[in-house]
Amino acid sequence: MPDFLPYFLHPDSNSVHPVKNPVSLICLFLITGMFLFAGNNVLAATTEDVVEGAGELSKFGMDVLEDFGLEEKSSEDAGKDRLKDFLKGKAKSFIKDNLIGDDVTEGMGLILNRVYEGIDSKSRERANRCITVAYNQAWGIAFDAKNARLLRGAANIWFDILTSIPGVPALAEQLVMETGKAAYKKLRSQIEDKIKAWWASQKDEAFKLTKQTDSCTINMTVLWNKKKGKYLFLISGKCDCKLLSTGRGGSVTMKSFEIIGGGTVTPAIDLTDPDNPKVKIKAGPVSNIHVNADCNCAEETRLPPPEEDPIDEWITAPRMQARVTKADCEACQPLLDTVTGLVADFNKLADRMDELGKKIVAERYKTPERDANIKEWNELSKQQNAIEKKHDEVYLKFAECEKEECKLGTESFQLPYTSELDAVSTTCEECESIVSEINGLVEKHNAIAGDMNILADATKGGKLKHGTVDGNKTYKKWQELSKKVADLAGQINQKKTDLSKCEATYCLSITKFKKIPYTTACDACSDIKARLNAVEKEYNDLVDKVNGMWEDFRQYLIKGGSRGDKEAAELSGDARREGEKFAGLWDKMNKLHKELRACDPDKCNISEGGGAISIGGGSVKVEIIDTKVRTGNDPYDPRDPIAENSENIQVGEGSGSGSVSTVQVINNIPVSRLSLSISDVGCPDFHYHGSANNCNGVFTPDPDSSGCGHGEITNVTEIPVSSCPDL
Amino acid sequence: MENLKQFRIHQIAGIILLLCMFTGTADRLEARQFRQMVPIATPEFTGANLPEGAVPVKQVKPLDRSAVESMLRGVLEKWNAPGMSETLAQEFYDTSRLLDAMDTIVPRDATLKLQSIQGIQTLQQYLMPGGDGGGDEIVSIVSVTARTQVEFDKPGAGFVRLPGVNEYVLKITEAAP
Repeated sequence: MPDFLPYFLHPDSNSVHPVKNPVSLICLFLITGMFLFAGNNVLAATTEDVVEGAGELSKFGMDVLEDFGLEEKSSEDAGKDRLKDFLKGKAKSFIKDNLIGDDVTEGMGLILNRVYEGIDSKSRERANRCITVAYNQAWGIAFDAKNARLLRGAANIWFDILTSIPGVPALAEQLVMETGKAAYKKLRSQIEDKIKAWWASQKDEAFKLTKQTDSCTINMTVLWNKKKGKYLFLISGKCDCKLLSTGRGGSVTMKSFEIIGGGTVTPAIDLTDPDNPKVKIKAGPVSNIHVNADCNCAEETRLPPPEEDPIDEWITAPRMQARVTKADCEACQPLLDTVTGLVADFNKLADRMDELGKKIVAERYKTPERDANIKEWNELSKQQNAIEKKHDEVYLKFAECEKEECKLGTESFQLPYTSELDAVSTTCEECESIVSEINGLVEKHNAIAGDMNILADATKGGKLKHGTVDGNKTYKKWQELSKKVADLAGQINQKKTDLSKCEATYCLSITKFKKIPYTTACDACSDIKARLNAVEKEYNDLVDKVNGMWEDFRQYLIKGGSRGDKEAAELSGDARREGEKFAGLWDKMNKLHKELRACDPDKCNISEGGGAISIGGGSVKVEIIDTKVRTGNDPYDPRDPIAENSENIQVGEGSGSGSVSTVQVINNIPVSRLSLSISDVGCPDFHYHGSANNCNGVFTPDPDSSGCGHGEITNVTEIPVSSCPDL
Repeated sequence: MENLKQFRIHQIAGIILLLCMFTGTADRLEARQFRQMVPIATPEFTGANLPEGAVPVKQVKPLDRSAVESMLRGVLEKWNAPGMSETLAQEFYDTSRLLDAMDTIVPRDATLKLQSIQGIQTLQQYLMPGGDGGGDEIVSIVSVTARTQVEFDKPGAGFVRLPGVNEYVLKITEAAP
C-alpha cells in the first residue's frame, strides 16, 4: 500500500496497543510537570526548519523538563540528563512499567482525541515537505490512538463521581437548597476544593503506542498529570531515509522526526440538575506543538520525485483464435501447424504484455521501471504485428494448399502403367530420316513411360493416397509425364503417317501380304493345306520377285533415271506383267480355301461361320469379315494372333510370337531357298526343286530335277532355328 | 463453213492430244498398283460388289453405336473359345489358318478384352432373301476401330498383355423390318 494514501486506509490503522498503568508515578510526575510548566515561550519555539540530531530538541526538551520539575527546581544539567534519559528510553521504560489501568480511560480517550485534533490541524498547514511528511506520519498514529476508545462526546466527558467523593454529596445537597448568593459561593467553593483535592489524589495516567509502517517505526507517548491538570505527548518516528509522499504530489526522504505538544485537563462542577450533580472533565486543545524533522539523507538514497502523467488503466493485449485445427488433407497439415504455432506465439506475447500492463498500472506514475515496461510492451506489440502478418501469409498459403492439394480427396489410388512403344524400321532409304525421328521420339516416349511406370509402381496396391504430400507429388508428376507422353505419342503418330506416305511414295513393298505355311496342329485336311501352302509359297515368291523388280525400277529412278526412259519402261513393264500373275494365284488359293472349308469341319473346328448373337431379343448374326491392324497386336492375324506387333511379323522361315523360333526344312534345306513346283511328270504332288545351301552351309544340288526334286511338300519338317546355323 | 471445218479439225486434234496424255498417265498409274495403301473406308451406295441376290437399301441406316459395341464384345468374347469359328465369316480369308494358329500358338488361357471403341461406320447395307423360306434379311457391313488387349500368363515371364488397335469389318445380319 503506498505511503501517500490517507492513513485511515492503512490496514494497520486500527491497531492499538494500550499499555498498563505504572505503579509508581514519581518520575512521571516529574517529567509531566516539567513539560506542562514549560510555558508557551518554549513550545512557541516550534520550528519549521529541518534540524539534525537532537541539538535543538535538547534545548527544547531541557526547558520542558525544567518546567516539569514539580518536586524542585532542576538545574540545567539535571534537565539535560533527564532529557537524555527520556530520549534513550529510560524514562519511557519507567513509565511503561508504571502505567495504570487495563484500558484507556475515558479521560485519556478525551486527551487522545485532542492530540489527534492538534496533529490533524498541523498536518493541514502549508509547510516544507519534511515537516509535512512528519505530520502525515504522526497523523496516522494519532488516528489509531484516538480510536483506542470511542468517545462519548467531541470534547467533554461527564463523570458521575460526585457521590464517590467524601463529603461532596452533602455539600451538593446544601448547595441546592441554598438561595443566598454568598452562601452559595462558599458552598460551591468548598465543593470545588473537595473535588480538586480528590482529583489530585488520583493516579496519573500514561498511554503509549507503537506503530510499524512500511516506511517508519513510530512511537507515541501521552502523559496525563491529574494533579497539575495537564497532558503532554511525544510522537517520534524513524524512517531510515525512505521516500515518503507529502500527499500533495511531492515526496521526500525522511530520516526521523519528533513532535511534542501538550494541553490542560481541568475538572468542573455541573449543578444544572440539582438532583444529579456531575463533574465535568474538560480537556483543552493542544496549545503548544513542536516538530523536529530530519530529512537530511545521503544524496544517493534519494529518488527522483514522481512526475505527473499517471496511468490508471492499460489496454488488454489482443489475442488470436485458431480458425481450424485440422486440415482437410494431410498435405496441408504442416502449414496449418505453422499457423497454429504462430497463434500460440501471438497469445504468449499477449500474456506477457498483460503482465506488463498490470505492472504499468500498479506503478501508476512515471518511473524508469514503468518506462521500461511500456517500452517492452510496445516492442512485444510490434512482434505481435509481425506474427499476425506472418500468420496471414501462411494462412493464405494454407487455404490455397487445401484448394489445390485436397481437391482429389484422401482416398488411396493406383496409377495405370504406360506401355512402351516399339521402334520402327524401314527398308526404304528415302524414309530413314523419318524413322530416325520416330525412333528418337519413341526413345523419349519410352524413357518417360519408364518414369511413369516407376511412379505407378509406387502406387501399386494403393500404397499412396490423395491429399498427402507424397501422393500429390506422385500424382502431379505422373500427370505432367502423361501430358508429355501424350504429346510425344501424337508426334509419333504424325511421323508414322509421314513414314507411310514416304514409303508409299518412294518404296514399293507388298512383303506384308506374304503368307505363312500351315502348321501341323490339325492333321485333318492336311493334303488341302499342303496344296494351299504350296500355292501360297508360289504367291510369296511372286511377291518377292515383283518387289525385287520394283526395287530395281526404284533404284533406277534414284540413280537419276527418268520414268520416260526406255529402260525404266522395260523395268516397270516387266514388273507389271509379273504382277498380273497374282490374279491367277488368288483364284487358286480361293479355290483351295473353299475346298478346305468343305473338308469335314468337325475335324479342325472349321465351320461355315454364322455366329448368332441375340441383340435386343432378336437374333442377329455377327461375323468378322476382315481385320486391319492399325497398331500393335491383331488377334485375328492368321500368321500370329499373339504377335506384339502384327505389322512386323517376319514371314518365311518359322513362326511364333513375333520371334522366329522354328524353320521349315526339307532335306535339311530351308524351304525358303527352294522353289515349290505344283506338278511335274512323275511327281504329281507339290514338291521342291532347286540347288541351295543346307542348314550347315553345305551346297546341295537338286537331287531329282526332272522328278520330285528335294521331295514332296508333305516331307517338310519344322526344326528349331538354332538347328539351322546357316540362317 | 470454212470456219466450221477448221473448228472441227481443232476439236479432233484436241481430243487426240488428250487421249495421248491419258495413255501416258495411265501407264504411270498402273506402275503404282502395288504401293502400300490403306484406303479410307466409305459407305457404298451402289450395288457393285454385292453378293448374288442382294438388293441394296435405298438409304443406309447406320447401326446404333451401343448395339455394335455389344455385338463386337460378344464376338471378341468367343476369341480362343470353342465357338470362335462361328464368329468368322465365309469371306474371312484365312479362317482355317487362324484356327490352326489359335491351336498351336495361342495359350489356352489367353483371352481377348475389348478396351475401347474409337469409331464405327456402316459401310454397306443390303437386303438378302432369308434361308429356309424365311423373310428378308438385312445385312450391314460395319467398320469398327477398336482397342483390344490379349492377356495370358506365360510361364517364366508372368502376365503378358498385348494391346492393339484394329479395324474390324463386321458382317451383321438381322431380320429385315
